Amino acid sequence: MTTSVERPQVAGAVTTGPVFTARERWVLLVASAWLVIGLQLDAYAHATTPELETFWTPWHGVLYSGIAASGFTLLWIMKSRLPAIPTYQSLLALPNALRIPLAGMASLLVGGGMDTLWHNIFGIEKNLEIFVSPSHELIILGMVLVAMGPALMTATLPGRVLSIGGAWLVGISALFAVLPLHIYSLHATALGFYHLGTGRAEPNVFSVDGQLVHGYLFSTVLLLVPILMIGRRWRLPIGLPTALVSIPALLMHLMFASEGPWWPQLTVAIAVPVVELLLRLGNTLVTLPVTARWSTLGLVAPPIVWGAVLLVGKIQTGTVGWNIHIVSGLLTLTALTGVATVLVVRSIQRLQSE
Amino acid sequence: MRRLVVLLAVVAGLLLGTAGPAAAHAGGLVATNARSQVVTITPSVPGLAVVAIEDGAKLRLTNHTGGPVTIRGIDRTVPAGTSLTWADSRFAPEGKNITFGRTADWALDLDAGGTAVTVSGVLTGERPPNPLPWWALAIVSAVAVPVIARRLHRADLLLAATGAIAMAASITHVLGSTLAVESAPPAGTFLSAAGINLLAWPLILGGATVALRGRPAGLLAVCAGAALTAVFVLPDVTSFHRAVLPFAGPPAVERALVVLALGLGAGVAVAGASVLRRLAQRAAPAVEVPA
Repeated sequence: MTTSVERPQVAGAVTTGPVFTARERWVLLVASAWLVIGLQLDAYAHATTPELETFWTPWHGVLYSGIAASGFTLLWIMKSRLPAIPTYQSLLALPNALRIPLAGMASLLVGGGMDTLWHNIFGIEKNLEIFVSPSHELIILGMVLVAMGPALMTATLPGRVLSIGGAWLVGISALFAVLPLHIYSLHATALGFYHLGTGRAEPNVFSVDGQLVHGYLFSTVLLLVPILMIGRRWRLPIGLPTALVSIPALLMHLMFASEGPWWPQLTVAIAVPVVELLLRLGNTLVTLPVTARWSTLGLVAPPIVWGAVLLVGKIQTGTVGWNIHIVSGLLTLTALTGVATVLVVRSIQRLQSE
Repeated sequence: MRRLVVLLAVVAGLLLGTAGPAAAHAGGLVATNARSQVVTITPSVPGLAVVAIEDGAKLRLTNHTGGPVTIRGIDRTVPAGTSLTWADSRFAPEGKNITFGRTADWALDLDAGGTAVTVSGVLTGERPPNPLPWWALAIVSAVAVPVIARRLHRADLLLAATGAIAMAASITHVLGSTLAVESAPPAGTFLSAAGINLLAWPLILGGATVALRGRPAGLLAVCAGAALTAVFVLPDVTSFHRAVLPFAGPPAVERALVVLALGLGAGVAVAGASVLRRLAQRAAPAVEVPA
């Protein structure tokens, strides 16, 4: 006969190098994909369907069932990793790969509760400001943390090289983690809208031109971070950096700029594989220390990609809307932003097991 | 455990096709400080009726005039022999700041078969309650549960029972909100109003059942369900501050239900930390006993 307490040592039960099964990783990936696709569909519906007032929409159905699917999946994965009498301590002592998505789920649910209170007190927003209410911030944060789960679970496996399946899983997980942030940062993105200058003869820094410049800088950071995070843990699989930039660019066009011309986002999608190819070739020809290689990526990739967008914009429209000072300064700023992002992300210490 | 899994699967199924955290109150109704009603229809047209429902949040127009009736301002036409229920910021109390004892007139223009008709109504301000006692009760409930739990040897029973009370309060609150809605089918309205509670209630019920059968692990489910109950009744704390509540019953009952669901739900979630820890500590030496 066994006692009811099979694993009483909470700390010992969860700190011995937790490895998740492929089934657990892929099921959580599907559940989190369901959740984030629900958000994308809902965002698309609200952006394109006028007077979408009712709660009973298919897009809400996908979104909310995605929340439920993610919640139940996390419960299923947690169940075998908790002691017979689980405590709050044993929940907090779960590995990061579970703790972070779990915190995301809590954020999602608390954000959901707060959201209704917010609407009851202040009314339902119908404009871009919906992106900025505190309850929506918690919901977006929750989605990002849940979507990171499969990549974090894969990171618990030993080794520096991702298998093909692992690369797909990590890539999709990173994409779904970062897509809500691209959507949420519509006010400062170079992907969602037509992004050339206003054409004013003397652009003012504190102006729409200034905001457009910030869009390039913020998108630089947001596009680089997942590539750098994955590159810190594994050798970057071929094509993954391209996917992590091109896919968000094309999806942002489909969701928010489908009425506009394709060339800005298409230019990004085409420029990125070219840059990846150049950098990989460069790495084989020139031997540099690892930090120098990554710094080169941060320094070179953003001005090439955004420079291509401005160049194609010039060809397509006849003007980039900015003078030489702004264009050259903008490209320099993207290069500096890129290298700074590399240095910050590469300097983050890996958490040691407790 | 198998039953709990089946129960969770049923709930998941319900969640797949129904509501979620952003669901507003049942039928989209919210607590306000005023009621709206129709006063006159000028000129009177035989077969045309306009009445305010749900404390004036919506109007219902019934057209037996023999011809179409058009509502100006929203450009909706009600064919002969049919009725239309709609909400409109011109007459709805939501978002209107009308102090107690004051009134505000409103009017709608209709076109009944070529005849211009004016529907006149009035919004009447109601006296809002003093919110402090209700907040105090909620806080006292939330604090009392962990304090009492610390003094009890079988605090797990207290948490299971208190969680069940919070769940019952939450269910009654959702039912009362559902019954206040006249303009939508009750089943869909109930699911919409329940939202994530469809997950919280089975968690409490299943967790309490499992815990009472001697498996204290169920308490974690009770605590999680109680926390969700407290979070998802938060939108209804507006009932502490507003006079006209979307609830089919006395407002004091609705406020008491919110106090119970919020206070006891939060109390159980907080008390769970120490109660579960003590249970785990008590059970730990059992491992060293040879089987």
